[in-house]
Amino acid sequence: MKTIISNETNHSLYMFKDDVVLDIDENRYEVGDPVELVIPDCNSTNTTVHENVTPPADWIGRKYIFDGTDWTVDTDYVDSDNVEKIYSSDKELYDSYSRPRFYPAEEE
Amino acid sequence: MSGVLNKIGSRSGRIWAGQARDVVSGGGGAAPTWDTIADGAISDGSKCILRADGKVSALPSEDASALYGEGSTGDQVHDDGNKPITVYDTVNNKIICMYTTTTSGGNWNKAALRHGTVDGSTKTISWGNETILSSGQNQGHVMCYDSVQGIMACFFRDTGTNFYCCVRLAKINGAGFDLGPITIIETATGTPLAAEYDTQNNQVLFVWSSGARYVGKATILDDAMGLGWSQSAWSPNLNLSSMSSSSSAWKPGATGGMLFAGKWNNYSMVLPIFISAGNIVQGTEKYLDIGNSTGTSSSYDDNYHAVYDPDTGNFLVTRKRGSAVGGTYPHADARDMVSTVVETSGPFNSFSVKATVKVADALPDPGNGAGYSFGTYGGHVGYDETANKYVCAYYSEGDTYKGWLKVGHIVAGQIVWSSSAYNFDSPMNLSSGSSSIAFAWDPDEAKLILFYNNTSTNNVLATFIDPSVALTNLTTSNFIGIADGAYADGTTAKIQLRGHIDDAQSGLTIGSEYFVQSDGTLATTADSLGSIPAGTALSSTKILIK
Repeated sequence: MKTIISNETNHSLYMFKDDVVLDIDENRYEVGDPVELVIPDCNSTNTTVHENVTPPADWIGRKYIFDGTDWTVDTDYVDSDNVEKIYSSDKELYDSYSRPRFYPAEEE
Repeated sequence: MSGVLNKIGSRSGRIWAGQARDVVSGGGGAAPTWDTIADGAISDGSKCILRADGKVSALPSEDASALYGEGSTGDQVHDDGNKPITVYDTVNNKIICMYTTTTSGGNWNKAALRHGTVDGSTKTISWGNETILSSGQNQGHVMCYDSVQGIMACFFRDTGTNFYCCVRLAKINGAGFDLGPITIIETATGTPLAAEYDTQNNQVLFVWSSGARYVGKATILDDAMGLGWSQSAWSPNLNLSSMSSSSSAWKPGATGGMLFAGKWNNYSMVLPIFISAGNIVQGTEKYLDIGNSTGTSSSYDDNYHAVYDPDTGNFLVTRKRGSAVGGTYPHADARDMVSTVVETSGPFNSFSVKATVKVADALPDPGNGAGYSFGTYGGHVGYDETANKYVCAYYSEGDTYKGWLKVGHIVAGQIVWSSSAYNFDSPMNLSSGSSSIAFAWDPDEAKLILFYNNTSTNNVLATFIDPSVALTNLTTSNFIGIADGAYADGTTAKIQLRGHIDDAQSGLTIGSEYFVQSDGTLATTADSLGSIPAGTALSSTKILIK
């Protein structure tokens, strides 16, 4: 797997399969060929890509800090951040599925 | 004519004098009554109208059959989805519906898009193919429309991208859409809250939540590279804390902008947001409830929806009221559906609000501040630009989530809602939550279309709404009198005519003049139909019919 790491905090922000193409410049990431995902707030200046990594089983964006070797849970990360209430049914929706961890998402 | 006018002083067969139970006629004798056939059941004290066939009907006498059509499989957007939102594509003359799929086709809870061709004469919509937008599951979505290029900007929180807030551009191509790539708004857990397209600046103005509430703007590109998103402003913090549900509407023109409505800091508020000289400007927020202040919070307000009225240049905001201003919770007025006219003039940096008007009571409403009031939800409002009327769709726990409609219009700057509500999908229940109802206005076919989903089959349905039709059989000239007893349908009913005193009322104020309302009640102000005098109260239960 390959991950995009924040240079400022070392948070692991994205995780991709090894064969996913990442086109990086000073303005953005473009993911996939053809491009399927654009990340305008990450670029070659503020992030670093680490390849051939093995993420924790419960990896999700911003939950882990990666120093190039080891994975550490960010103690400030709260899983419940992902279920902040917008619609009353969101919690039910969240509770009813297993979160996909990687992009592109696995089919259900 | 099937009725018989009872001549004063005569008592022969069906012709007899009105009984002067309370009448002191000053030498003129008793006031007349009239015997005729009841069209429908009539209760003692019912206000009655004369029908074209000479029969009488008690108010409310409604005929809402032309107001709406029941949603059916023929109007179905998707057989397994929920949370529809809509825009109208004026470039391609298509209605656009964005929704969340549920379990069909392996696209579980994904954001989807479909376009439809509206036939106003047959009131049908022919739908194109479903296009999936999100890589994972959708946890909240908004949409706006670039009316210059004919492109939809579809925002969603995507579990496939780590719950980050995303946008995807879509443009009609044949039966489906051309799509741009998914673009991350911010690499942080986030949910889109509002999006509008600014035709003055040709930019999208959007609000999202990722811990705090932010506003951004972007340009939509459509060139040889395909659809592209160029975000030119990043993250001005709106400083709206404790945000709950929200909505937005757009006023076009040089003095226009986004009205952002919602609850923050425990108050129902509206906030102007607009672009000036290339910069995002946050105007002055305003309490939706007149008289509200930091000392009178409006806890539990929820389910906001806003619509722009091009005829007045103002907005209308509906919401579920948590409690009346200054009221504690639970409260007699709690969980009602209410509406507020929000006025704007001149520069788009401040609003003024009219007094909040109730759309519908919570059902049942105990009215005593004790126990549990069932909530009214939905509260989405559409505007028919031909009839110049609003339609509010909502549903209530109190009647097992059936869908209801009320029709409103502006009188002297204030919203006036129909006194009766009309059930638009009686066999089916709507899902709970704030997002199962949406309206769209088709300017080409001049049709107002309601989208909704129900929990029975989890399908997204559309139905046409025509608020121009008369919703009541009451007119300004057919009120005939008040029933002097209870009568079954088809039996002969005795109606007390002008000059008679009816004693079957309640809650009247002595000396006050009362007017007939289309819902069959009496009020000291005229119904929105016009002035239909009922009479003058002689006691709390008696009225001298005029």
